[in-house]
Amino acid sequence: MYGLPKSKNKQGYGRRRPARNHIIDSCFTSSSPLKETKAIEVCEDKVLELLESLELEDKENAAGIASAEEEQRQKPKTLTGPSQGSTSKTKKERALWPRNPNERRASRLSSGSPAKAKAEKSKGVDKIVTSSLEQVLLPTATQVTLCQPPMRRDRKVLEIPETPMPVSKTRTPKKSQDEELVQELESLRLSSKPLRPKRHRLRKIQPTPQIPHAPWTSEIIAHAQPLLTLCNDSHTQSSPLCFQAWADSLSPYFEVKKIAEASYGEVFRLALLPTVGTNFTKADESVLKLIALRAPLPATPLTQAQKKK
Amino acid sequence: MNAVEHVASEVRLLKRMSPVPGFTNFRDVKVVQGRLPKQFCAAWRYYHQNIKASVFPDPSRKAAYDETQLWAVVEMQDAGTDLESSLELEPAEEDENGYVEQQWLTISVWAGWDIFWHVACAVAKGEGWAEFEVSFCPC
Repeated sequence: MYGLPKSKNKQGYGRRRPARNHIIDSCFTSSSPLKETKAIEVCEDKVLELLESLELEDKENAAGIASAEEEQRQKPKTLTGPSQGSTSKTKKERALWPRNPNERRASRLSSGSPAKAKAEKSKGVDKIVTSSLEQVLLPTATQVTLCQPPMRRDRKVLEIPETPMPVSKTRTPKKSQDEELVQELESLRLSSKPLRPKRHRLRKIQPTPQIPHAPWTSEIIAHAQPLLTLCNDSHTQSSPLCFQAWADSLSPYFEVKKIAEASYGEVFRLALLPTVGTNFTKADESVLKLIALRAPLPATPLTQAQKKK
Repeated sequence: MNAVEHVASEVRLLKRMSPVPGFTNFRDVKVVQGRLPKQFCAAWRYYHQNIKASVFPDPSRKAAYDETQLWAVVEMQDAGTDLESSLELEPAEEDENGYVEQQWLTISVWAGWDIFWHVACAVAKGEGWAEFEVSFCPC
């Protein structure tokens, strides 16, 4: 059979294995009952060792606290700074710190907070550890809190002095502040006229000069109406523009160049002048097809005399 | 001279085909009246003297166009060099025997390939867009 070998640890794609604390797993969790009993025995041994070490520490701490209290009685009280007792305690802790890494690990576990211990899975071990730790740690904790906050190993803690926050004065309503300011201004000003708020006049936007229309008649408009309706601008839709005026409006920006000829008319290019600023770009250049249109037919046929003229 | 209706239909066609790639972009149309302005006259003169002899009359002469002449100015985006000028005939030269022989401008096969496919694609897109049919093949 051609197939994949069966593996015990099947891992589904897209799933993530739950995170495990390897120390706790190795100590307190086990798959078989035999392993579990062994783990419990190991843990009990570690806890006993820990308790012994803690008792020693307790005694030394008590001695240290007593000496610190005596020193405090002799010296004036200081608000900040660790006492000598605490420093001696940390030094002693370091001295008592187990050199063996396994023991150190166990001591770390025991020195952790009881909340961590509660989270552990094995309930029997949990009970033993918590009860023993409570018995051992509680009196020391109470004693330590009397003189200083509990220090972890030799970690230094930055103490920030509690300075009172600047309390703002009682807020006065905005109107009253404004009134005060107005009064001050009135006292300062020289003229007797009352102050008036300055009015900002809106700047009138000057309309762009529109290209004048050619002298048109109703006949011309009617004739060019199909093209006039296709214009984009409403100004150019009404009637034909004056050709010269329209060309003059282009001349500040574009140069007119003839590029081609066709049967219908001539083709010009509006080339951008180099003097023009950034308002126009090369994309604004256009190609113009100039197509001459037939004149409107006269409403009445021309007479012979008119034709001769 | 062109009829107004014919120009209007061309403008409508330009408007219709403007969104199709390959066709020139239509911008605007204007109807103007009068003789050609001096800027256009100068451009005509330069073209006539330096580039090619114009078939249209000199607009600077008053007899060329009337004061009431109507013009349609169709504004489009510059679409580059037109196809006709790239395939224009070379200037005719007389032979020793007096024969005039004209030759097509030689363009590379790659340029010919590009021109053909650009035109074919633009026409195909235009056919799809405006629902018309073009038959190039005269067979």
